[in-house]
Amino acid sequence: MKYIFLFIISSPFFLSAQSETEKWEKGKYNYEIKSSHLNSHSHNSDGSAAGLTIALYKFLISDLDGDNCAFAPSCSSFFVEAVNESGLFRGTLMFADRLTRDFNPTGRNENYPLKLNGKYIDPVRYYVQTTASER
Amino acid sequence: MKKFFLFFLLTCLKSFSQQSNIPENFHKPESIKSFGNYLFCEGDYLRASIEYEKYLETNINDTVQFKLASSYSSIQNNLQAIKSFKNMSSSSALFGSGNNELLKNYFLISDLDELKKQSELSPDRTTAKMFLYLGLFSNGSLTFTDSEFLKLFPDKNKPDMKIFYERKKNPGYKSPLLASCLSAILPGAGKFYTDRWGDGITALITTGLLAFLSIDNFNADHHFRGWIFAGLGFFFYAGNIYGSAASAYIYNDNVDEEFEREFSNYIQNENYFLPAYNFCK
Repeated sequence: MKYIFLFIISSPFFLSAQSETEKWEKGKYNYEIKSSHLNSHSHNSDGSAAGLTIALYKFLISDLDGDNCAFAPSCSSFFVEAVNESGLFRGTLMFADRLTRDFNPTGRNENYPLKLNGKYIDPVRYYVQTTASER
Repeated sequence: MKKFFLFFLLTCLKSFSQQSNIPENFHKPESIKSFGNYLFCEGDYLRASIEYEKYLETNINDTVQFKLASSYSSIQNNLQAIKSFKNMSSSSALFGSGNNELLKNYFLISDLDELKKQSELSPDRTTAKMFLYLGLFSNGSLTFTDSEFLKLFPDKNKPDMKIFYERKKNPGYKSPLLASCLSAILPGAGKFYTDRWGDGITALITTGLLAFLSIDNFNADHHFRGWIFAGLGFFFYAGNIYGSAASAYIYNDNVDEEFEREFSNYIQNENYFLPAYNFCK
């Protein structure tokens, strides 16, 4: 009985003891950088009318359609960022231009050489500073 | 027996004790210098600089000083390179070369004020002037003629430098205003002007199709639909005008970037028009 009791008391020390292989096993880490700026397929709206419209669009239409935009950020996110940075009028013009470019399936590798997760990088800042004073 | 056992035990401890395997001359200056030279020739400039710094704490050697500064320059630590080149003695055989490398480092950090000063005070004023002009050229200040610029370079490089000078003077920018006007007249024409043919055709088709649909619906007395298509058509038309101006700015930026890359690669390949030093024969 005494030996059974001793065995039960001491067994956790054997079962959970650090063995050489366990101690030195390489940890599995994911070093992928999750960019929240360009991967912006989220429903978070900033409270503005444009943001709410886009959130509704993403909830009702885009989620069913999937993440199909060839560009990063996606066109809807591009619109929100453009309006936030340049105002509604200029942001709308940039969005119209972005849609036109999205309709064009050719020449993307030449015009957008950088890629993120398979999508062509086309941020708003490329199109914001267009007047001489801004540049 | 006990004494014999103790003697045996002590003998074993002495025989198998850990002894240092480091040779006696490991930390001697000559060894440090040799190791530094080996690292320098292997291209491990960061560690070479550490060894050379260690060596120069207790010794004076202009060749090592030059190699230390070259190591800093190779790892683009230009400020340290400048400091090290300045420490070279004026009586050294490598003083002239060190001065040229110093000027090169001033050029690399775009210190035009110092280059201007050096072009008047430096023992090699031609090289100082060359780096000054290269600095002004890189910054876009073409305050000199092509003949003044070209005479500073070796004959074999003059044709290439002449091409670079012409490209810098006439970069072939596209006018954003002209791009916008072309797109206002014919949707997509501004994009053709900036070599975005696919985007231009898409803009033309989109705007044209929506305009056609609008007119067709108005002709069929479907005014509501007509106005919707007209609105969409105007939306894409206005976007196309803005996009054409933006594409002209992007085109100009790409021209500048490509020029800077080609020019920088060219002068690096020519070792900044300075003689190459080979300490690793």
